[in-house]
Amino acid sequence: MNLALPDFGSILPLLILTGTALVVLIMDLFLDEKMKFINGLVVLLGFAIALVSMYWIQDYEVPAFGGFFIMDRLSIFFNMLFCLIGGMTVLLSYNYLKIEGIDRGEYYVLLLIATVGMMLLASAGNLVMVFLGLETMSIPVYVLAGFRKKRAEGAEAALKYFLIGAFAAGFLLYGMALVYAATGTLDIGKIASAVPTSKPLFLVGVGLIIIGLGFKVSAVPFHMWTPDVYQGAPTPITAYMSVGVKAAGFAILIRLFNVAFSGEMVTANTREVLWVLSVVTMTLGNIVALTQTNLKRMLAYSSIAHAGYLLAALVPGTRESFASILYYLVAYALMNLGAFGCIILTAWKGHEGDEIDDFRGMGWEKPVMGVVLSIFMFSLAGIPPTAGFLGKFFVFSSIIKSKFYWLAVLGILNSVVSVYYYLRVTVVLYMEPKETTVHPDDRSVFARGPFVAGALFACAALVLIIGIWPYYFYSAALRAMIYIIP
Amino acid sequence: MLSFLCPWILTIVIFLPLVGMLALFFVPKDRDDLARHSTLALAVIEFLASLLIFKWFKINDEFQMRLAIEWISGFGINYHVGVDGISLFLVLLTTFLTVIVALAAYSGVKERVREYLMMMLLLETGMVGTFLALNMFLFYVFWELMLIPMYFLIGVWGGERKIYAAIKFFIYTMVGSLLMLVAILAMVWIYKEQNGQISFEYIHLLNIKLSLKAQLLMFGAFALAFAIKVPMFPFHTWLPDAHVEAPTGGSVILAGVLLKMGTYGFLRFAIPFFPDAVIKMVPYMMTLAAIGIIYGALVSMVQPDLKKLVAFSSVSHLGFVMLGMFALTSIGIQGSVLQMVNHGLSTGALFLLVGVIYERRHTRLISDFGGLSKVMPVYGAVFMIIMLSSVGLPGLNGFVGEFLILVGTFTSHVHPWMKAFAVISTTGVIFAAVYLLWMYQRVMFGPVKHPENEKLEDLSRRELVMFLLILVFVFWIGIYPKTFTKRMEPAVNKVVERVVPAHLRSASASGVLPGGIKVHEEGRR
Repeated sequence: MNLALPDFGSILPLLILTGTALVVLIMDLFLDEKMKFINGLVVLLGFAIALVSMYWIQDYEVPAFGGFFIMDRLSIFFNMLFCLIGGMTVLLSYNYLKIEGIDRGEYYVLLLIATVGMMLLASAGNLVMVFLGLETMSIPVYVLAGFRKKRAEGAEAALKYFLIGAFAAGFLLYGMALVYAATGTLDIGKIASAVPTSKPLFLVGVGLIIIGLGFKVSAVPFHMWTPDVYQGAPTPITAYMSVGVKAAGFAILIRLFNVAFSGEMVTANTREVLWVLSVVTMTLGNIVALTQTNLKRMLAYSSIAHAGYLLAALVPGTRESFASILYYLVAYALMNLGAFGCIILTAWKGHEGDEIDDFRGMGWEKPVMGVVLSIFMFSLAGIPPTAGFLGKFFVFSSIIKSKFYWLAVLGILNSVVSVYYYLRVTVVLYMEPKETTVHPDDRSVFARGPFVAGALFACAALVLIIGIWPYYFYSAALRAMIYIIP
Repeated sequence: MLSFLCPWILTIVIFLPLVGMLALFFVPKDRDDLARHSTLALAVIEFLASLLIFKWFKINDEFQMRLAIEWISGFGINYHVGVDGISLFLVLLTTFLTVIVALAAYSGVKERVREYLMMMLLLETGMVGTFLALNMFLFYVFWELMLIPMYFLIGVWGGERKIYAAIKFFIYTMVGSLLMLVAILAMVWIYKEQNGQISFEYIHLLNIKLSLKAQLLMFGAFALAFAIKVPMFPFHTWLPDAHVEAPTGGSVILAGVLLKMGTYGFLRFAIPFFPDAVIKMVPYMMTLAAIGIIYGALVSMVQPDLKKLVAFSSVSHLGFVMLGMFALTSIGIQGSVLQMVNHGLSTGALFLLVGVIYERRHTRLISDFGGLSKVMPVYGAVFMIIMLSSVGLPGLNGFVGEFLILVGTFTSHVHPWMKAFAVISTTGVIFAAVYLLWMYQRVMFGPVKHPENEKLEDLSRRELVMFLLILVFVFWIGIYPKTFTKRMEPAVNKVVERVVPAHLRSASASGVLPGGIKVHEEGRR
């Protein structure tokens, strides 16, 4: 393998993020307690530059590093999404880190490295690269999940996530080994055309890979870690995990199912598996979410349910259905980051602010936050005119186009169930009388957390804008699937 | 003079309330009266704007004042609005009732007035948009958009069990409408297979060819969505809860317009889309309608609570609307559309009347009243006229609608049992007289039993204006319904011609009653 200079051009955004990580790591040593916010600003700048740099690398739409790394429109779409998620997470983090007293440079470094891992995953052209990307993403996230190391929940979350993550990585690796044994190649582009020497060996390999990635996107029955980890992790990290890790998992699932596992032999066997997996995932997620009293746990189960809808869009395996996953992930990222942002705004020292009852009467007391949180809840429930509705619309439209009517009906009925628990939040916000607990900090949301408020505003505005004019994002998603490099 | 507005008028009428709602954000929180005045002014302007639609409406069966703008290209989703004889009066009803509700908000709402009015205006945008949308996607968006403000109106300003009622309302409606969405999407993709082009346009989807089985399934999905909204007999249980808990203004809009969404949906979408399935389903729908008429009336009779009584009477009246519609004759459907408007006026007014004494006494139990006509003579008189219009006294609006529906049903040939359905349902008129007159007697006549009632104030000038406005239309429709029927007839005939095969069409479908009497000239006297 010879390294050419253009190859480095195609990993430019990753280089920028890695460079930012190194800068922050060193800079952090010279900053005293009061100046730590500079870390956040630098990281934000890094994400912004990486995002903008994506416009230039479109010339490099060829496999780089001997086919290991592919920067095509699919990866660019996802990389932009990861930069957006990363940037929003930085905005959400600043206040929270100060409140919790964990305002350290390593936090941002880990965030950057995890994002680089996600990008590697989305651009992987080889199964080895998939594994590398997955680990580069996962290990910093394990650490971040336990970043509040003095808290028992934090430690529990980190340990649980790490153990189960390691377990999942084993499945994935074993699956890759079997696929290699059957086809003799690890190159994603070549697996589809390779004639497997042993069909069962190959299918078992595919199944194990689905299981390994199923852990990452929290599909049932591999979801057990999700609620505990989401609850125990610092809230901004929960937000980051729930959208970033899930998006990365689906990025590679899309690439695998669109390219490597697109042969008739595989799809004929995986279609029913995915069908059942998606229905079980969304049903369990929605039904268990009904009984939650903690908003973070509720959103954890809701994220399981959303994984179910996304898995449903993998079933038809058409270009439209993959594009609908892309659109859905953008919408889901915005509304979930927003919902977690609202939790962060209600937190104060020693009070996580994540019980649903903490929001009692908040809609009248803090009208802006009430409206914004309601928008996110209606969007998660899939009520027009929000991005969440359009996401479900595109997903179910592609499913119905391929004539999976029962899957669509089950998905639709599931989203009726979900309406109940999302509405529950608006009920608490507006309809139930407030009890006497007084928030120690009664400044407006802007004064309390200007960055968080800005991020929330941006998310809410985008949820409405791409809900009313979805065409730009949907056509970008469609183009990403049309120009995917095989 | 204003004719340059003509292509945009529908869009203006749809979005003016939304603009007003956003403008209300800038009204200071403690200036309740400023919010009320500006909402009332806006509602009046909106009503006048909708009168322009009426003025420019030409009597034919086309969609008029259409405007189409591409929205989501590549999906055949356009912003496409237009009005025909069926939606015209429902839009007018909506804008009219919003004026009434804005008037009622002066005394009916005391807390969070600004937000209440904002929700009302958002609701108006949703309702008008639903009636005018000609693209299935646009229709669905407006249809769901209505849910959010209504949910908050019930949940925030409602009575004791408001949260239960609000969530029940929301989820009931969602179940139906999401299944409808599946059916819409299925139709769109089938249309694409048949015509090679993807489209959510109502007019395109009318040309789709479906097997009977597919039609029955999709009709089921559509019918479930609309039947829940109407509400038809087994799906009506959310209605009493929602009505009893909703604030007065919410009840007026809920009964006056939201229920019409269901019947409108049947007439605009479910019936023309699936003609073969509709003919098959006629006896079942008629049975449910007849059950609704009788059941609603019987349950009304035993209600101790005035608001519940009016709520169940809606089930009965909407049963008539469904009966006339599935008679599939021109007269029956015209009566049915007219009855939608009538029910909006009469039942809306009844809810307002209940609201008037509720504001004064904070109770709605019939047994807490008695002899009110001595204390509040004007109130008693208004109540009587409205009550009689709901009973169906000739000369008032209710009679015209019910009469046309029953004649239309009796003369229908689409199913051999039609005459029986007409006869059974006619008893509903008698029951209506029983429960309404009995209620009126217990509230208004006899001695004043409760000392609290002796000093009740009669209608204020504002309240009187409110009811007089409604009474104008009650008499207008009752005495000269031709203003309304002649505008809806072409659109209604189009539906009948589309759905009913020639050999099942009764003579009246062409506008002539049996015996050769021309409907327009003689049938309405």
